[in-house]
Amino acid sequence: MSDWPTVMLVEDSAADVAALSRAFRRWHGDAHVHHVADGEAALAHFHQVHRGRARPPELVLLDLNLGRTGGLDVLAEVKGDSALRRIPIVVLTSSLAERDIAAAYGLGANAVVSKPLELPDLYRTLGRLLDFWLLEASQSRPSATGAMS
Amino acid sequence: MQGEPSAKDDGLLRRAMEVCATEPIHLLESIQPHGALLAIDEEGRVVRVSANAVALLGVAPDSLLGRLATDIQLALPDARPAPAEDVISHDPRPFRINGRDFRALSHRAGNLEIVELEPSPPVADAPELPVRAALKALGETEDLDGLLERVAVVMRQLTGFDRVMVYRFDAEWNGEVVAESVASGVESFLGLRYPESDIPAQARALYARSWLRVIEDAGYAPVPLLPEVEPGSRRALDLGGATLRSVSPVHLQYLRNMGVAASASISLLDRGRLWGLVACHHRRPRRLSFASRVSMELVGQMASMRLGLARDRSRLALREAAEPRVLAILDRVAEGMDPLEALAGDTPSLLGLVEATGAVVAYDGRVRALGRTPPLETLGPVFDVLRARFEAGETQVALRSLGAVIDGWDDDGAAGLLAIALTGSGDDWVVWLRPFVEEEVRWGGAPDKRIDPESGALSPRNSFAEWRQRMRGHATPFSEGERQLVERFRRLLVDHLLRQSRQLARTTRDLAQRNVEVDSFAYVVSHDLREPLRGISTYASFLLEDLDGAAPEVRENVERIHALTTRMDRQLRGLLAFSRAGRGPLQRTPVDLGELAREVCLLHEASAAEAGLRLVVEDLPEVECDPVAVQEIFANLVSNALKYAASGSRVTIGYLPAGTPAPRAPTLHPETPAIYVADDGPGLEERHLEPIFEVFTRLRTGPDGTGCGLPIARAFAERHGGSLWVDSAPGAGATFYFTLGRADAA
Repeated sequence: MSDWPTVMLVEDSAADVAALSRAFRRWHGDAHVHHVADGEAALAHFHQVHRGRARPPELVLLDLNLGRTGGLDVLAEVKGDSALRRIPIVVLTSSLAERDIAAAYGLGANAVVSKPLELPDLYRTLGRLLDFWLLEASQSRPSATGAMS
Repeated sequence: MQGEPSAKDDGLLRRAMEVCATEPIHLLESIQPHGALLAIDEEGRVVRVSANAVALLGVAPDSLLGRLATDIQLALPDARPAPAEDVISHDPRPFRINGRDFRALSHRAGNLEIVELEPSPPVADAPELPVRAALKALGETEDLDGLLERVAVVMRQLTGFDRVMVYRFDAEWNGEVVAESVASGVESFLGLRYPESDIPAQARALYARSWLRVIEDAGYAPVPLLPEVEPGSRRALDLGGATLRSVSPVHLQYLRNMGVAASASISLLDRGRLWGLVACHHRRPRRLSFASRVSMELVGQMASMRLGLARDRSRLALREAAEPRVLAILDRVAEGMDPLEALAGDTPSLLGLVEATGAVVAYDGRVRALGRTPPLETLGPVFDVLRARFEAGETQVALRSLGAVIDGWDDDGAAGLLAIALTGSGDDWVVWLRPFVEEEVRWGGAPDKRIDPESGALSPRNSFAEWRQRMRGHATPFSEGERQLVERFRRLLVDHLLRQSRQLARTTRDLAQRNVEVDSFAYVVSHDLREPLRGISTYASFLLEDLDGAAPEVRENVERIHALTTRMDRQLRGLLAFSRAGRGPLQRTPVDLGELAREVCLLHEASAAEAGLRLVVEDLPEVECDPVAVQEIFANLVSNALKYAASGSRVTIGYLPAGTPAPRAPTLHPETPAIYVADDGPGLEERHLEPIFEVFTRLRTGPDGTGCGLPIARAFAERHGGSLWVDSAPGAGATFYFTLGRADAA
C-alpha cells in the first residue's frame, strides 16, 4: 500500500472534491488521494516536502480558485523551488479565462485541463490523466530521504 | 461714346481716376462767386482776397491786399475771440461796407483768419423756419429707418429743394441712398448705389470736418484768389472750412449732367466718424439764407446724435426678433441632439437668423447645407480661409467677397459670408452665405467718373456697368447688428457645446470604467457563477447515479435539474465569449475563406449528418481578416443553420463580389465581398430579423445553443469594420450575410 502513488488534490469546492473522489474510485489503478482544501494548507505541506519531512506527491491536481492563497500562488511557489519543481502539477480549472490558462502555463504548470461539467466526462478525463501521469509518464521519484541527501 | 471702353480708354480712365482721387479739393484757390473772401494774417493784414472783391465790395483788391483789416473797416463790431480752427460757424455777423450790407463768417485756417462776406439782401433771413418742429419730429422716431426718412422730409421742408436724399456709406465707403424726399416730377434715386470712388477719401475728410457744403449754382464761374498761387501748392489757401469754397470741376460737371443746378450736403457723423450725407438737389440755382443753413446744420447734428441711439434700437429689435429662433436652436443642442443635426435642422432654421440665402454647418468632419449653397465638395477653399483666420485668432469672420480671397472663386450665389467658429478645432463652423449684389441701379447721371471723350477731361458719365464690374463678386455686407447677433449666438452655442462635450467626456469615462467592470463581470460570470452551478450539476449527477429503484418521475425531475444546469453553463460560456468577441486586437492576414469554411464544415460534419443535412462550400475569395474571429463567425452561422435547416436539405456557404447589391445590406452596394451562409429552413418573420442578434434570444426553445452565437458572429464582423445581417422570409429559408470591412480602413 505504501507503494501506491500519492495524488495531492488541492480543491476547495466540496462538490468538486466529491465528484473527483468518485472519479478516483472508478479509476482502474491504485493511488492515494491527499486532499487539501486551500492554498495555505497546500503550501504548508510543500514546505514539509522541501524539508524532507514528507514524501513528495507523484501528481498534484490543483484548482486555481482557492480563496486567499490561490492556485497560481501555490504553482509559483512550487515551480520556483528547485527541490520541488519536478513534481508534476496539473491545473484543473473551470475558468475559461485565457489569462488564467496562460498564467498557469507561464508559471510552469505541466498541464491545464478544463474540469468537465458532466460526471461521465469527468470520470473519463481524470482516468486519462491518472493513466498518463501515474502509469505512462516516467517520473523521477525522489524518496523522502533522497530529498534530504 | 457708348459701350465697352477700349483698352485706350481704360488707361485714360485709370489716370483720370487717379487725378480725381488725389485732387486737392480744399486747395483749389478759387471760390464760388456769390460772396467775397479775405484771408487775414496774425498781424491783422489782409494777405489774400478773392478777385470779385471789386464788384461785390466796391473796392479794388489792391486797396485791400497788405492793409490792416482795421483800416478797411473789417474790424468786427463785437470783437469776439477768433474761432478755433475747423469749427465753422454759420452764425454770421452783419456789417456794412461802402453802404452795402453783408454777413460775415469767419474761421481759422492754420495761422490765417478767413473771412467770408455775403451780401445780406436780397435773400431775407425771415421767415422764421420751423426748426423747432423739425427737431421735435426727429426726436419722435426711434428706429433707424424712421429717423432717416424724417431727416429727408424735414430737410426738404427747411430748404425747399427738389430732392433730398440720405446717403449712407458702407464699410468700404460705397454709398447707398437709404431715404429720400422728392418733389413731384423729380426722379427718385432711392436705393441707388455708388462706388467708393464717387466721393473720394479727401472729399470724405472734408465732409467729416464741416457740417454743410452749399453750391448755389452749379453753372458758376469760379473766382480766383489774389495774389495768385499755384493750386494745390504749399502756399495755397486751405479752403476746407470755407462755405464759399469752389468745388471740383468734376463734381460740377457731375451735377450738371444730372440736371442739378443747386446742391447742398450736410454731413451725418456717428461718434465723430462720417456715417453718411444728406444730399439736397435743386433743378434751378438756389440761394440759402443764413438761417436755413443754421437750421440744416442743426438738423444734421441732431440726426447724427440720434444715429447711435437708433442703431442700438435697431440692433435690439433685430436681437429680439431673432431670440426665439436662437433659443429653439440652442434647445435642440441642449437636448443632446447631435450638434450637427441640431444646427442643420429646420423649424426654426439657422437661415433666418440673419439675412442669408444659404448656410453651411461643419461639425466633427461632417457638413450640412441649408438653403442655397455651392456644392459642398467645392467648399474646401472656403474652410481653408476660415481655418487660417481662426488660427489668426478670429472666431467670427465676415467676408464681402470670397472671390477676393479665393483664387477662381466664382459663385454668384455665395459671394459673401459670415461665419462663426463653434469649437477650438478651427474646422467647425456655422457659415451664412450671401449672393452677389445684383441691385439694378437705374442711374440718370453716373455713379462713376469717366473720361469725357470730347475734352479728355474728367466728367461724370453714365457708367453703371463700371460699378457693376467693381461690385462683381461682392455681397451686401453683414451689418454690425447681425454680427453682434451671431456673436452672441456663438457664445451661447459654444457654451452649450462645451457643456455637452464635458458630458460626453464623462460618459466616455464612465463607459471605459464600465467596460472594465463588464470584463470583470464576465469573469465573475464565467468562473464564480459556474462554480456553484457545477456543484448543482455534480450533485444532481450523484443523485442520478445513486437513484437505483426510485420512482421514474423522481429520476425525470433530477434529470431536468441536471439538464438545466448544463444549459445554464453553456449560456454562461456564451456570454463570456460574446463579451470577448467585441474587444481585443484583431490580427489581419490574408485568409483563404474557402479553406477556412471547409475546416469549419469538417468540424460540423457529424452533426450535419445526424440532422440529414449537406454542407456545401462554394467558391470563396481570399480576404484580409483575423482567421480566428472569422472561423468563429462561420462556426456560429453554420451551427445556427444546422439547427434550423430542414432535414434532407443543404446549407450553402458562398459570396457576392464587392459592389454587388446584397438583399437587406446596411449599405446598398457593400464595398467588400458579402459572404453568406444560406439554409432553406422555415425562415424568419420580418419582426424577428433584428432580435435574433440580441444576446439570449432564441426563437425556438431547445436544449442546445448558447443564445449568443449570432451576437458573437455579428460582434466579430463589426470588429472587422463590416456588418452581419440576415435576409429571410417565412418559408423561404434564411441567408446570413457578413462583410469584413476593408483592411486599410480598420
